[in-house]
Amino acid sequence: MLGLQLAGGPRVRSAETAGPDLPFPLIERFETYGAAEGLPGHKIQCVTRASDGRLWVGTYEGAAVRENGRFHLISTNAGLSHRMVMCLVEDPRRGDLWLGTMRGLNRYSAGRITTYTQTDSGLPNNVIYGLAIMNDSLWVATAAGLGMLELKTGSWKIYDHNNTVMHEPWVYAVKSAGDRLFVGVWGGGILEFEPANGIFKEHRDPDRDMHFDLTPDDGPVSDVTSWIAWDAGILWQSTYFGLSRYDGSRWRTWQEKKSPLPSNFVNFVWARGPVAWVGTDRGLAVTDGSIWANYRTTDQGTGMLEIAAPGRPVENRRMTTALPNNFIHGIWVDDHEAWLATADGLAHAFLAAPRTAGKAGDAKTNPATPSFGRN
Amino acid sequence: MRKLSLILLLALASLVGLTLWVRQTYWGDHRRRMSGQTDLAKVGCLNCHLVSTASLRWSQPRPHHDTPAGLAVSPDGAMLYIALDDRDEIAVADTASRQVLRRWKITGRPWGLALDNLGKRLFVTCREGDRLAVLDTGDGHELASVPTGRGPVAVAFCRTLNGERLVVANSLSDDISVLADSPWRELGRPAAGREPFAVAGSPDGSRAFVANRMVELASVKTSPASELTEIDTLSGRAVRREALASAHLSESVCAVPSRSWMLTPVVKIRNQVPITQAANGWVMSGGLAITDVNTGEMLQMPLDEANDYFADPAGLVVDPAGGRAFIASGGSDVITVVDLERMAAWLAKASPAERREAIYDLALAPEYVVARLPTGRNPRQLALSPEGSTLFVAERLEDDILLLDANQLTVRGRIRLGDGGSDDPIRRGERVFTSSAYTFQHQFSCRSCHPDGHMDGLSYDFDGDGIGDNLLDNRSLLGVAGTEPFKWNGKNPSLDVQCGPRFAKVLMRTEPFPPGPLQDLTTFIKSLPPARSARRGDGKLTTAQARGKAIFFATRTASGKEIPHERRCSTCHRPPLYSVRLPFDVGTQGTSDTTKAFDTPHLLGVGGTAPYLHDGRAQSLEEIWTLYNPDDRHGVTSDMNKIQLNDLVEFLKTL
Amino acid sequence: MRRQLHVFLGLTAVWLGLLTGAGCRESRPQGTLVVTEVPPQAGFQTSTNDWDRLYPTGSRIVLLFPPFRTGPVRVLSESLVAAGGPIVSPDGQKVFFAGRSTITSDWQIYEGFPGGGRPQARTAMPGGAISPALLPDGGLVFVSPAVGIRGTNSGKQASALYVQPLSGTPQRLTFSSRNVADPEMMADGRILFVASPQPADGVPGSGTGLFTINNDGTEVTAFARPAPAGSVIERPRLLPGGRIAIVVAAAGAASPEGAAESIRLAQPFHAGSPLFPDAPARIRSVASTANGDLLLCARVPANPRSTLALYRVPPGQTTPDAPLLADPTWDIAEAVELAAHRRPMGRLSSVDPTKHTGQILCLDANYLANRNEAAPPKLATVRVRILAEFAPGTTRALGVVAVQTDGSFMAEVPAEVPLGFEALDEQDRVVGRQAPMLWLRPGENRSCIGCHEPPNRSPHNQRPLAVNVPVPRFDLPVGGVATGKAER
Repeated sequence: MLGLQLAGGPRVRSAETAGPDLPFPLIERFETYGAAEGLPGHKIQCVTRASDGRLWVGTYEGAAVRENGRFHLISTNAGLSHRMVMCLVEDPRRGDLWLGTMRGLNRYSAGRITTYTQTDSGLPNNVIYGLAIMNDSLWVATAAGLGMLELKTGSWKIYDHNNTVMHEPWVYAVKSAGDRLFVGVWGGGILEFEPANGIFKEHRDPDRDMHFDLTPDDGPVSDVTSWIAWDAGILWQSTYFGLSRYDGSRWRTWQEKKSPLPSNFVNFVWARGPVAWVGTDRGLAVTDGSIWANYRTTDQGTGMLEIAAPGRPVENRRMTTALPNNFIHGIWVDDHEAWLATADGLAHAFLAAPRTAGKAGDAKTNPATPSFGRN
Repeated sequence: MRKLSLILLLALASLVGLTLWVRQTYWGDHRRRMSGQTDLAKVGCLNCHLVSTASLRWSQPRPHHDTPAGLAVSPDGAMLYIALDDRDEIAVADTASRQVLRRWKITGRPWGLALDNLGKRLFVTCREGDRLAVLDTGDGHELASVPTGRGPVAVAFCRTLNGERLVVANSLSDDISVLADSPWRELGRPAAGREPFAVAGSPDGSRAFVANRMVELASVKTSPASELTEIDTLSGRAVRREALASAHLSESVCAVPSRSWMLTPVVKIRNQVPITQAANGWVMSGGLAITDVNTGEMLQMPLDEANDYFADPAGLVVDPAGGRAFIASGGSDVITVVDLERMAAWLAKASPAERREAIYDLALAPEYVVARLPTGRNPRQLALSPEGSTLFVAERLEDDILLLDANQLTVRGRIRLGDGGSDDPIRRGERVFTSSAYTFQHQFSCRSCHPDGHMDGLSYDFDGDGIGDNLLDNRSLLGVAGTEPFKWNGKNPSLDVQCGPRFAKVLMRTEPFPPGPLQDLTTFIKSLPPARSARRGDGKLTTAQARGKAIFFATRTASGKEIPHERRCSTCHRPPLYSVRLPFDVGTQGTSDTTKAFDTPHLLGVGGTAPYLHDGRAQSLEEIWTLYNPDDRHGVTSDMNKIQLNDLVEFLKTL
Repeated sequence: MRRQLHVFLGLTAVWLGLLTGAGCRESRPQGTLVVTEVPPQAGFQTSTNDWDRLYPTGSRIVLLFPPFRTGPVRVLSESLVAAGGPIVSPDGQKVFFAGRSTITSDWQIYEGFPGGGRPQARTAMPGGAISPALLPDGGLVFVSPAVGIRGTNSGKQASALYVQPLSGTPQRLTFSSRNVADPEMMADGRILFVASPQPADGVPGSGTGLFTINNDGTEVTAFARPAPAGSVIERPRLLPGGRIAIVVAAAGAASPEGAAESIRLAQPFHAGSPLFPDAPARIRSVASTANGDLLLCARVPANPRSTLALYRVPPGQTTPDAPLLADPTWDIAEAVELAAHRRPMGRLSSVDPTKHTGQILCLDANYLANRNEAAPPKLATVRVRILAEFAPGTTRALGVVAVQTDGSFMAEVPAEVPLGFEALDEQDRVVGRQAPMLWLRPGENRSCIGCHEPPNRSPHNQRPLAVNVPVPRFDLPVGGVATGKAER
C-alpha cells in the first residue's frame, strides 16, 4: 500500500530516490491535500506561491491560502466574486494577489477583496483565464479579449479582435516577458505585444490545422493555445494538440507518440529556466525539450516515473507515492518543490537536489541543454 | 411720409407675424426637440444658450488666506512648521515667542507635514502637485521632489532596518506611496481604502497606519465601512486592511505609546436607518476607533454625549506617556480630552458584547472624557510638543494656531498667521459650512456630509414623504454654482432654498440659517470649484479619451443610425456645465420613487463622485449603462462594445 | 392744511414712540431679580389645584433691586389676587407669569411690564393656564388646565402642554392621560417637562418623570430616570455646565419643598447628585443667573418655621452662605434674574395639519435591553398588537402588524392618541408589553430601536426590512373593532 494516511495531515507517500544526471530535479515524493486538509474543494484549478511564502490555491469551490501549515478559505462569503477560481497572480510591487474567476476579477490586498466585473468596471469579460503583472499594469486574459488595468490610475484598456490582429477574442493566457507580453489566444495562436510601442505580432500555426502538426517546428503546434509560460527568454505554449517552444527565433513542437509528451491534451505549462513543467490529462511531464521525466498514476493508484532521454532506453520507475490525479490544471515550481493542481486534489512534490552542474532555473548558468533530436 | 409710415407699419406687422409664426411653429418645436422635454414650462433659452463657466463664482479670483493645515513640531519643541495650503507656503514659527519667523514658498498646495527624527528635513505633501517635497529646515531649500499618487495629503516618517521610509496617503488615487531614501523614490504603491487621509507610524517605525476618509463603494442598502490600512514600512506593502464598520471621515490616526492601540477619530453613520429624527445620533455621532495592533481587535467608543455632540472629529494626538488623547472637533470648536487610562479601565471590565455595543451608548463618554476645551473656529490638525506639554491647534478658519497647556488644559496663547478673513464672504460662508452650531444639539455641520464641499459617497433615507425606501445619493457640492435647480427632483430653484427651511426641517431639525449666514454659506458653496478630473496636466486628451469624447457628442450610433436628440449624451449633459438643468426620465425610477424624472447632474469632476444615479445604485460609471440602462433611455449605449464604453468612461473622467 | 395735519400726526407718532420706547428702556440695575413673594402659611394647604396651594391669594411677582433690602418693591402682578411662576424672555426684556385676577377666576398667563403698568393676560384658556415658558420665536408654552403635578383631576382632562404662537390660537402638544407640569426650554429647542406616573402602566411605585418634546408635540421622549416612588420632580431648570436642577419632594401634601438635585445632560439617566448636600431638604426652587450663580429659595435650615429665603450661591459652592434676602413677612418662593440669557435654538414643525395619522417604525421588536450579555435570551416576537388609549384607563387594540425577520415593523396609526404595544409570539402570547404612553402628531414619522430600548442609545446602521413592505394602516376602531390588517 503506497498511501499512508496521517491523522490531521496530508496523505504522505513514501519517498523516491533521485534519478540520474538530469537537467532538472526529479520528484522524490508527493503529498496530497484535499478537502480533508482544509481545501474548499477537490478540483484544483491553479496554485502559486507568493513572495511572502504563502501558498495560494484556486479551486472550483473557492480559493485557499496556506499559512503556517493550515489552509484558510477565501470564499464568496468573504467577497470573492465567484467560487470557481481559474487563475492567480501576485503583484510583487504591492503584494496583492489577483484571482481570476469564472465571474469576475478579484484583488486580494492584505485581507481585503475588491472585485471587478464586466458590468462595474472596464474588465472586458467576466470569464477570466489568465493574469499577468507587468510593472504597474495588470493584464487579464478573458473570454472576450485582453484587458489591461493601470493600477495607478484605475483606467482600463481592452485589446481584442476589434483593435488588434487578434484572430478572435477568446484569450486563454497572458504572460509578462520583460518588456513584452505574450498572449495566448484559443484558436488564435499567440500574440506578442510590446506595450511601449503598441505593436502586436502574431504567432500562428502556419499549417492552420488544429489537430495535426503537419510541418513540425514551423511555428506553434496549434492555434488552440491553452496556456503559455515564459522564463529565461524561452516561451512555451501548451495546446490541446501538443506542446511548443519558442526561443525568440526558432519554434519546436511536440506531440504525443512522436515524442515522450504523454498526451496532446496539455492544459498548462510552467517555465523555469530552460525547463518546462507540463500539465496534461495523463500526468505531469518535465522536460527541457530533450530529456523527459513523466509522472503519472496508474489505474491501480501506483505512481510511475518514465524517464526518456535521447539515445537511451526509456526508464520506468515505480514510485512509492503518486499524483492524486493525472489531470493537471496548474503548476508552480521552484528549486525545491512543485505544487500541482489536479482534478482531484493538490499535490505537493518534493524535488531531489539537481545533480547536474549549474542551477536549475537559471538558463544563463545552464545554457546548453543536451539536444537529442526528435524521437 | 405716409407711405414710409405704411411701409414701416407693414414691416413691423410682418415682423410680429413672423415672430408669432416662428414661436407657434418653430419655437416650441425647437425647445421640445432640443431639450427632449415634453413639458416646456421650465425650458428656456438659458438652459442651453449663453451658459458660461467664466461667470461662475468658482472660476473667478478669490481672496487667499493664511489658513493653517498640517503642523509639525521640531524635536526640541522650539519651532512649529505650519502648512499654509491656501498660500502655497510653509510658515515657521517660534513656539516661545509665538511669532512667525519666516515663510517658505512651496508650490502644489502644501498640506501634510512630517519631520525627520533630527528635525533637519521637513517633508511636505503637495496636495495638488501630486508630489512630496523634502525641505531643508535650515533654509527652506527644496532638497528633493518625489512624485506620489494623486492628492497626497499626509506623510509619516519612519526609520527601518533598511533605511528611512516615508509613507504618503494619496487621497485621490486611493493608494499609498511608500518612499525609500537615498535617493527618495517610490518603493511601493499599495492600495488603500477610499480617500486615504491620514497616516501615522508605529513607535518602532516598522508599521504605518493609514486612515481613510470615505467608505468603500458597496450596495447602497448595505452597511458601509471605511478602512484602516496597515503598512509594512520595510517592504512597502499593505499587511492588513481592517474595516471600520459604519464609520468614516477619519482625518487622523495616532499610536498610543504605552499601549498597542492605534486611535482614529470617526463619524459613526446611520445612513441605512430612515432619518426620522436627529436625536440620539440617528443621523450620525462621533467616536474614537481603537485598533489593537497586536490582536487586530477593533472597537469604537463614543465621544459625543446624550444631549450634546462634538461634530466633525478631525485631528488627534496622544501625549508621550499615552495617558491622554486630544481630539479636535472641527464642527463644534472644541478639543475633547480623553483619559486613556480611564478608557482602558472601562474596557477591561466590560464584556466583549459591551465593548461591541459601546459606540451606541451616548451616555458612556463621561466615563473617560475629562475635558472639553473651547477653541476658535474650525480646529483641525493638532500637534504636541515632544515632551507633551504644549498642544498646538490649527484653528483653520481663524488663521491662527492655538497653544494650550496640555497638562493644565489652559490657553497659553496664539500664533497669528493672518487676519481671519472676516471681510471675505467666502471665508465667512465656510465658517457657517463647517459649524455645527446650527444643527440640533450640534450634531453635525454641512461638512459632515460634504467633507471639503465634496460628498461622503453615501445614500440617505430622508422621511420627507413618509418612512420608506427612499434612499437618495448625496451629491457633491463641488462645482454646483450655476447648476440649479437642486435636489434630485429639481424642486429647489436655488442654493438659498436648498440650504434653507427644507434642509432645516428634514435634517438640521432646527430653525433655518439666519439670512446673513445663509448668504455667506451659499457664497462659499458657489466658490467651490469642481473636483479634480483625470485630465492630463497638459490638458490634452489621450487617444482613448478622445474616442470617448466623440462618443459623448455622437449623433449617430456606431452602426450609423441616428440617435434621437433626447437620447444623446450632450442633449441633457450639455457643455460647459454638462447639464441643461432640466429633469429627465432616464428609466431609473425605482419602486419607491414618486417621480420618473430626475434632475440632470452636472458632470464636472464626475469621475470622483461615485456612486451614481439618484439613489446611488450605480457604484461606477460603467454600471450606469451596463446595468441600469436597459432601454437606452440614458443615452443609446446598447450597441456599444466594451472598448467604446471604456472610452466613454475615460472621457467622462476628464471633465 | 392737510399737509400740516400730516406733519402734526407724524410728530405725535414719533413723540409717542419715543415715550413708549423710553418706558421700555427704563434702566434697571444689573442683577435685578423677578421674585415671587408668597404669604407665609402654616402649612401646605390641601387643594385640588397645585397652584392654588403653591401661590395662595396674596402671592405676587415683584422686582427686587440690588442690594435687595426689604422694603418697597415694584409689583409686576399688580391687580392680580395671586401670581407665580415668573419667567424672563431671552432678551431680558419681558416677564411672564401665571396669575389670577379674582379668587374665583382661572389662572392665566400674564405678561408683566418691568417698566411699569398693569399686567396683561396673554391666554384665555378654559380651565386655566399655568407654568409659562417661552419659545425662541416668542410663542408661549404653558400647562392647561391648571392642574399641577400633584393635583387630582379625576373625570377631567389631564393637564397638557400647549403652545400659543405670537399670533394664533393655542395648540395642544401632549396627548396622554398623565398630568404634565413645569415646562422648561432646553438649549436645543426641546421642551422639558414633568409628567405624572402612568396610571395604567402597571408599574407600582414609580414616581413622576422628566420628558422632552418638540415644540410641535412630536418626539415625546423620556429624558431622565423617574423619581423614586412617593416623590415628585418639580421645577426642572437649566443650569450652566450641562446640568439640570430639579427639586425632588415628597409626593404627599405635607410640603412643596424638597432636596435639590442636578442631572447631567451627558448622562441624564444616571442618578442625580445633590446640589447642596449639606442643606436639609427644604428647598423650594433653584434657578441660575447669567454669571452662573444659583438663586436658591429655601427655608433657613435652623428654623423650619422661618420663611423661605433667597440665597445666591456661586458656582461650585455646595453650601449657601447668608441669605441674599430673608423677609419674615414673605416666603421668597422663586427668583429669576431680569437679564438676557441664552436663547434656545428654534425648531421647525414637522406636523402636517392635513393628515390625521403618523407612521411608526420599530427597528427591532425583539431588541432587549440586556443584549450586552453574552447570550441574551431571544424574544420571538412575530407580531405586534397596537393599542390605543381612548380615555384614561380605556385601552383597545387597533390591530396587529407583522414583524419582519429582522424584528422591524412599521404601521400608520391615528395621530394624537396614546399608543401602546404588545409583542406577540407565534401562539399570540403576549411576550412584552408597553402601556399607551406615546403619541404621534399628524404626519409625524416616529422611530424606536425596540421595546424598552436603553436610554440615549443610537441605532445600529442596518436597513430595516420593514421599509420594503407595504405599511399597514390602522384607524380608530368603530364600536371596538379595529380596521387595521395584519400583514405577514
